[in-house]
Amino acid sequence: MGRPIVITSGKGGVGKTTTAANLGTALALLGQKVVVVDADIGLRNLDVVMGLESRVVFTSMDVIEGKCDLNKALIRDKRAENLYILAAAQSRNKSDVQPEQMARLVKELEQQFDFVLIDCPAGIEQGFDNAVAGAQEAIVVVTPEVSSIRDADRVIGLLQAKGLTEPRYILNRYSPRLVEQGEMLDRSDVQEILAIPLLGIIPEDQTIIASTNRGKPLVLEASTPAGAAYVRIARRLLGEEIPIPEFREETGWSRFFRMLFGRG
Amino acid sequence: MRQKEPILVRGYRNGLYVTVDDSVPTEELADRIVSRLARLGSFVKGAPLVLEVGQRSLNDEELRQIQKQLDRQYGLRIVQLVSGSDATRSAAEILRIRAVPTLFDHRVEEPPALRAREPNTITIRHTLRAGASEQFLQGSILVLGDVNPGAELVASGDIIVLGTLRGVVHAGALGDEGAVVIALRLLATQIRIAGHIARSPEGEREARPYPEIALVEKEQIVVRRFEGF
Repeated sequence: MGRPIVITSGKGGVGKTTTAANLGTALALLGQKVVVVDADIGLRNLDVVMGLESRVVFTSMDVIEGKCDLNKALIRDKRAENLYILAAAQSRNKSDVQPEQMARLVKELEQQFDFVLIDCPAGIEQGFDNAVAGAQEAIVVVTPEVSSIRDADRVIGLLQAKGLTEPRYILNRYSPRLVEQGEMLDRSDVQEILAIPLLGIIPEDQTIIASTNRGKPLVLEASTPAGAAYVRIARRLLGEEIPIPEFREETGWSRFFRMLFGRG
Repeated sequence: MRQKEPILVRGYRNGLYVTVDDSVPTEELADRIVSRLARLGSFVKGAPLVLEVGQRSLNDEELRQIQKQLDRQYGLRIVQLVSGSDATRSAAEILRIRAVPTLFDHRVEEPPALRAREPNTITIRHTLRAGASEQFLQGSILVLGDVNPGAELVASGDIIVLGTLRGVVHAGALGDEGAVVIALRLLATQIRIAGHIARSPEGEREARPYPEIALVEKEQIVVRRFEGF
């Protein structure tokens, strides 16, 4: 039996889809059989971020409506073995699916996969209810901004009310430089409000924008700090105990040497 | 001896129980309730309302007007009508409002401010996260946890938070100026006591390492170290 995990945030644009794509890829690279489900019906973009847009023929809606077989709608990733996605219908509405239908779909996927990652849409309306319906674990993505934390806090309350009592969170786009300058909330500020386990921190990384636009998840280039952070989170999901690094802004000698020998 | 207040407001579960004396003319009834609530400094908007209108006879049109006005100005929803008049009760039935001849055996005598320190306290045994809202108009609220930004608490009595208070709280919501707010770490976005409002100072307020109390002094909300009463 697989683990159905919803990836949510409340607020839009904090990196849910990027997180789903990267965690899915990282877990697959670690040998797990993974499916990432785009639950953002009407505004799908998981397939775009993963560079699989051209392969979408059938969507989860077709499966739910019985128009095609589940296996026909699963799209195999072109790079990672054991990684599949299930796209969302583009021309439909979130109200066209009921939570029970979504739960049934996820149940079916659990039979075949080790991990079922559900990419939740922004907001707390029906799309959220649908995405959460089949999940047994939840990951809340939050950026160190007051508005993101506020929405994440609200979502945690809603998840707990729905029986997902132990959500964990990923702190995304964390910039040690800005924290040191006092321009960004410190990780401890976020922890104090949310008060749930921290699954990992993704440092701010410009390369992530390029990777998203190229449709190639960052974890495929593990040398980047963000890519490495996603791999660590995937390992933690598998039960490994990997400490969360401090992500300090380099100072003193390290900066001196870097300047001496040039960037790289 | 104070004159008998023609309109009495008190808490009833999470809503209001308003008693209107027969001396109040029907056409002024809604206005008088609204101004009474405004005078109490209450922001109990959207609260369910039990309305007691005495022996007066109201037809369904009059009652509809009253309901409309209360809804428009205060978001109040009449959930039950208490009336000694058969005509009024059948008017209520037309509007699908539950109507009864009496609700309580005892009559309400003193205004709520005088009986403010009711012994009732509800305890919330978890952190209130953003979007959570708790209202208790028959006494005080005790929270065993934090009140996060974006959460809201309303009580007719005191509000005590054994944790960090960052949200919005309204103590003495039915006009009790003697109500207090106490928190182990007081960082509230906004504190209201009866009709007074205090905002958190612009910029980040640093948490004091000791419990604090907010109370009304000289028509103002002041915050100071809590060292017991």
